[in-house]
Amino acid sequence: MKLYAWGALAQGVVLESVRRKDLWVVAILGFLIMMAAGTLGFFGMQGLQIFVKDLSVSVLGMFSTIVAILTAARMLPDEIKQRTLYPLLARPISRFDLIIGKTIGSVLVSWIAFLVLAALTGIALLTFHVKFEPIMLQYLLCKMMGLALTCSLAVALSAYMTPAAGATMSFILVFGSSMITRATMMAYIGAAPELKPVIRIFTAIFPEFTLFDLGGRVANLNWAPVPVWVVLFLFGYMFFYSSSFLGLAWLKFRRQAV
Amino acid sequence: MKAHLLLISVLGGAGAFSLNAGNVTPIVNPPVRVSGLDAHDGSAAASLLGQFRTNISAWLWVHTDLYLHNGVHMRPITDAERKAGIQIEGPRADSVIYKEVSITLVPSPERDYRGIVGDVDRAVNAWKPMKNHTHNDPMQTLPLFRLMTWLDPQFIDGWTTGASVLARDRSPAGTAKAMKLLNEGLAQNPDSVDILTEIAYLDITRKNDLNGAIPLLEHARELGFSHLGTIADNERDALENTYHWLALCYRDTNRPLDERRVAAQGIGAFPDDKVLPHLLAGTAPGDSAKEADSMRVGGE
Amino acid sequence: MEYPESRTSKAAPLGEVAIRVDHLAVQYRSKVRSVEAVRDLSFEVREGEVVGFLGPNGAGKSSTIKALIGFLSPAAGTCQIFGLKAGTLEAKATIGYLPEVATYYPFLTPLETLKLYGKLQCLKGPSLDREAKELLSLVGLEQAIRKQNRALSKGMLQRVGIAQSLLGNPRLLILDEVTSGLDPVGRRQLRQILKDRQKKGATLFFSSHELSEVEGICDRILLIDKGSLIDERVVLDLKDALRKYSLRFTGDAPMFGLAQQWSESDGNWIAEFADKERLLEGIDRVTSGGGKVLDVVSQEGSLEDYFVETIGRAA
Repeated sequence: MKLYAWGALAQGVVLESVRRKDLWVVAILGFLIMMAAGTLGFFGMQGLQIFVKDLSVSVLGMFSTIVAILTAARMLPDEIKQRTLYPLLARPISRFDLIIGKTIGSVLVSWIAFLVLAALTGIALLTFHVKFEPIMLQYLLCKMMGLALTCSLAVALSAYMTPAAGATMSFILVFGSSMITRATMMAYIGAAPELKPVIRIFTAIFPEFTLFDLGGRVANLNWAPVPVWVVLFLFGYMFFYSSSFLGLAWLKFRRQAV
Repeated sequence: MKAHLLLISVLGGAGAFSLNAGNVTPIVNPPVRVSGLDAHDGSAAASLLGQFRTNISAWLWVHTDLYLHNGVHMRPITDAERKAGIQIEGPRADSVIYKEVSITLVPSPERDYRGIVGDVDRAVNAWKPMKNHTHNDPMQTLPLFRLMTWLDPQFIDGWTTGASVLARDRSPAGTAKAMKLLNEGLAQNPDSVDILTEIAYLDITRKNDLNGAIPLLEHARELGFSHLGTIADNERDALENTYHWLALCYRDTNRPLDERRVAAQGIGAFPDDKVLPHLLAGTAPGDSAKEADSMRVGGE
Repeated sequence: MEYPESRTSKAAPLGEVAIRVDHLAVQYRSKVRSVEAVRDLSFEVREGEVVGFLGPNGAGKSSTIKALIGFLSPAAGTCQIFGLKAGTLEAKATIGYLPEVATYYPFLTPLETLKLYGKLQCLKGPSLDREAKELLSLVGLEQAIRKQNRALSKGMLQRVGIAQSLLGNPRLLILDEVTSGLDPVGRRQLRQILKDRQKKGATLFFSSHELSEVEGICDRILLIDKGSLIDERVVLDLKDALRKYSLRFTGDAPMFGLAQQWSESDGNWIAEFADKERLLEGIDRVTSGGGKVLDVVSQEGSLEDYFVETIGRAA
């Protein structure tokens, strides 16, 4: 029954997003950027391979993350503001079911945006004679897991702050993840001994979104696919942190008067 | 609808910002500009903050490093890391690329406390041990240079380094492409010492056209010398090369007086230069040191 | 005015308690202060009853309903739906709810909206599809079944709301401002729908500002103001209490102590009585006094007057 309810909620989210045409704007913009890269072709195809793949993963990563955050961050606040929450919560579903269902919906929307963009990007790459590599499939899979984690974060933040603040924090934490992680590691080397455990705890609490981005390996030359255990680890990592974020969201939302 | 507007305004803002990035107060002409690569080389924090650079051409410049290293992010080593005994992961001794004092941004196992998460980080990122590493063909960086020149036509390094990469192809076709790029850069920056010198350099090394190079080098010399106190560091470095090549051109076209004049002026402008005194010594007899003093810019 | 049929409290089934509210208190807390929307409210609604929940704006009606649905937690007291704690999944499974302000997903059609809500109630497949279409037809939306909700008028959205509240044939209907946005034809249709549901055994609990709608279908009314229950009346008894009788007669029959007031007009007397018993006694006095009864008129009392008067008294 729960899965059926979650599926129904998710279906509603996807239908709304598709009909709202948010996804099509993203797809068109991404495709235009890729096509603009073709104007660099006057240098000849030599030298373009890394660049177009680099641009592809950058565009894919950026736009799909934007869709994920903007969709997920407004999920709960919009329901409350527009009062579409009332007939939902009057049904025999719990607030936890609502959070899960809506999050699944926003994850599906971000995956659809990502896969549509990936398909368009793939077409663009073909015109640059870029060959398909197995690592590209791994990139897609890991990125989708990363988007699920991103949606969970945005939903959690939206339970505690306004949609705009939640979206902004999500953008900072996701796009700044690399910088935060690397700065933390740099700080660890020179930190006082009593501070090192604090830094370790911070590293454990704060998820590293960059782990889900295989773009560096995809864009550059001759990188082997990652081992299967890494992909499995990433799945577990995503599941753990997503569950934590959604749990935090539920803690706030369950007692909230609507 | 709101998502559309947000996305369009973000992209429009980014686009407008990047297009205007080149209009960051050029104080004099040639423009005064801190080389982005210098900041990247010297400061770990600046390197780490690369993605938030306000000058997009400098960001692209930093990105060329990434392409050369096949996607492996490098950063300068910090003092704390040196003190902790961490070794730099520089290029092979036979590498023709500039000396690096860097380590990988994704830490190698011996300096990573994260355990399995660190192993995963190294597995998913473009990471490999970079001690004695080699570089990719610089041709892979060409699109970045092209972007730099489009987005920021006043970023001189974009034109000159891009042309250098093209000129690695020593065939007439490669030379022609490099010249075309430099001429385009010159049209955007008519007073650039560096671009003029680069064009002259190609005339000399690829076409053996010394007489064609001399007017360009003279023009560059005049521009640079008249703004000696105010030009940017990279233009100043280029000016020193201008004196070198100009003196050599005059020597090889059998014009010793001009060679002498140029070498002497160059020593006055660059007292620490090692090449010009040799060139001066090879010209007509006289006290090279006294002649250099008489040419030195007053008050410096 | 012709009085529509309604059930008397004597005829109401003594089923189990559908709604039990015990010393309910609801508070809204902000950073600056705390507002008590409902205080020490207690009432019961039996299964099969139709109860109107009345009160002026800000009386606490919607807050009470939100507590019944589980949208908020009471500061004190309890709410039960068929003996189950309000807000639990089991309790919500017995309820069909129409919100005061009806908003539905703008890019879904009424059919998709009902199917979404139906799925959340574990309704599935062709039977859900069939029921959704039947309900939309029942509320007069068969032509708009595939239009997106954002293209519908307020009244049409209210009909969508009514249809979704009837999904799954719930035992208890909680309707907040049920006639809002409906035209007179829509209201008549709604009245019929609700009566049909009641005949099938559903319990109806609804709040409304339309007193004519309330007296048309309710068995009982609860009157609330400033968060407290101030009166509870059976509708028929209330109507009887509000009804006035006037007698026109000739003769000198004394009405002192019997009629509320009397006056002379063109040689005839007109006396007004509060109830039927006094009227009959008055008629006796006229006939036994040798007078003649010319006319007897029964006048329906105004529920609005009762509402305003009772609220005013409570203030």
